[in-house]
Amino acid sequence: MIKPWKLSAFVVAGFVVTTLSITSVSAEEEAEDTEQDVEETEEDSEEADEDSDEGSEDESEARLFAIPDAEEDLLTLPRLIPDRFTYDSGVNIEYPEDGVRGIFSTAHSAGGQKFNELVDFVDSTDLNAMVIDVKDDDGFITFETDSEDERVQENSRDVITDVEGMMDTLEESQIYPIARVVVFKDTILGKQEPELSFTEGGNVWTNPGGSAFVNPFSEEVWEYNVEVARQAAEAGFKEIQFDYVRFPEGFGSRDDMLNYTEGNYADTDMDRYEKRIAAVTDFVEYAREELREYGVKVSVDIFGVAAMYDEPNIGQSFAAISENVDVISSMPYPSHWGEGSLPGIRYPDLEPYNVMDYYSQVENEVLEELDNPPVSRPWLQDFTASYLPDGQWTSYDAPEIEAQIKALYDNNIYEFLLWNAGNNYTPGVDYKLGLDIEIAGAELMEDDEEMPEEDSEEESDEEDSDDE
Amino acid sequence: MKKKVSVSGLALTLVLLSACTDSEETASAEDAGNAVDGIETYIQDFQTEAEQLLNVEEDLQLDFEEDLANDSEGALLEGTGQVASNLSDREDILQSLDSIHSQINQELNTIGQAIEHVDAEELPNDIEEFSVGLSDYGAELSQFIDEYRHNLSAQSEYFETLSSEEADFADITDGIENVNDTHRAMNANWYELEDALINMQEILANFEMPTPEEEGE
Repeated sequence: MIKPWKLSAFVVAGFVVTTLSITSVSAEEEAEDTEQDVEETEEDSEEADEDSDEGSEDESEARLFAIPDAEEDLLTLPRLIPDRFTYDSGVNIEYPEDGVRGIFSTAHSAGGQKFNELVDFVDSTDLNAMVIDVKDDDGFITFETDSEDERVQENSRDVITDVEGMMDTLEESQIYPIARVVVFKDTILGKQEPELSFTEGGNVWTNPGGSAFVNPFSEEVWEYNVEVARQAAEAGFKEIQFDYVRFPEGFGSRDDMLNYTEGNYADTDMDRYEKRIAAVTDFVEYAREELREYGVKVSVDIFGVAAMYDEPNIGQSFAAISENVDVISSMPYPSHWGEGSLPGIRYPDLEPYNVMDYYSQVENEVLEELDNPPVSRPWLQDFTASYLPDGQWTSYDAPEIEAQIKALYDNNIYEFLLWNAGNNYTPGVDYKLGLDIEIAGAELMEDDEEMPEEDSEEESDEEDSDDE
Repeated sequence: MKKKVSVSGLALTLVLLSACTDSEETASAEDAGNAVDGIETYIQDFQTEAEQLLNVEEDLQLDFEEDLANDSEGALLEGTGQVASNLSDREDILQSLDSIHSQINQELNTIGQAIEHVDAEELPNDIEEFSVGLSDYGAELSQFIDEYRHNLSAQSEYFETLSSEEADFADITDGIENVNDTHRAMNANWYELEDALINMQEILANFEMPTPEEEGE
């Protein structure tokens, strides 16, 4: 499962990777030469000596064909697999042609009276998608599934009592359903099976908020979460959005005090940071491959700051994760940036356009470097961060939300999700800003706001949670 | 050791070549000279076509991806897509290789007739060894074509499976594995082909057919 060479692609400098490749090829050629010599020796020792004298240098020059390596595959599984080959849940909801614009719904909202209110809200606006908790922040699976996995059975709760009915409603309105699966933040599983978690003094470690995490090095944990994702796909969700795909915040300063296994990563040559990044990235890759037969898209929520700097303490590399997902959903909420943490922006919450504009440019630069960049679909702030010091926050109403959207459109990002923990979304927002998004880009709003000057290299305060 | 095998195979080769010949047909020393030139050209042609085979084969992944992307247009279902073209192109190349191989054999046949009917003094001393050597390596060309055809057939069967409405994800993945296994098995055949062509070129390079003028002097 561990692929150390893969880690090198995003950790080690390019020339080292190149060197390794060359070394590998040379070794194969050497082996091949040796093999041929052995055959000839068996046949005729004198001739073998002659061949040997001729040497491999002449041999390489004499080659007529660019014969592929013996281990090289002719075919690999293409990225795009038509629906007729994949699992058919019976729920027919297409990916929105002009991009996903969605809201978040807790399982309680989706399973209760609030659901119809949210559906009506989406129906009455230019929104078209809903992210619904399938595995919540505590680790509970939010509806009863047919899974034979004992852990899944044990941790399922009948919060969304009528999944089929919910899907029927979403299908009727063609609201694109995204299953949010909180992965490594999992108090329930951590406390049930401490060996899958991090312990301290014999007890499961919890963060200041009382939440436990399970261990990203544990492949049992990977399998469990992917099984939950399978159940979501079978229920009709069209996309699996993994959240908390990381080690606990602050892990870097306490990992020496915690007991946990590094699993298959223990005996590798990677340092502790590389191991974390490898584990988190490998989980994402594993999940995506395992879910391919379901035809669902895979997305990951990630700290906004991760686009600016790798987060080795928590194992998040924006680029490495992005290489392995269909959609990347960063969380660059204006309120989550510290005072002066972004160039030219003193109090980020007061400048939603500038924050999102700056962030979008940074993210675009990172994604442009990737061979197969995912769709960018950031989370936007649809809540008021009144917990910030007075003078550093503002009420988030339609203009502030539209400012964030405008910044995305100005940077050719046409998908977004709105976060409000209570699922109370601001009315009266123009989500398309009056533009025809299908031909957007050239016709987007005029650039009436200047980019903040990048006059410092100050590090930002990290967002302190994966959601609000 | 190798040389003994070659010499002992000489008689058999000549008999086989003669068996393919009209008993009335004969060949002159000049015909033999032309045949040697022809073989040289055909070996070059064979190499060029084999290179093309590799190039087209290399495109299969992109063709596959394109067909899957255009699946709703029936690219795989109706066999009208890029994959079908790729398979067809390679079958055409194999037929071309077949044809070139036959022509090499015909030229060898001509040389065989010359050896049988032309006064030995008019021909180079080593012409029999030359002919047998080329004939032995020529058999490897034929073997390569057969093996590649088998490989291509496995690929055709795979894509035929995907043209079924019943095909599922496992059919895609299992089939890819099978295709890759067969493909990998071809690797040794490519090296054998390459060695055969190099050896044939060496034999040709080391052989000299006297021109009629030289004979006259």
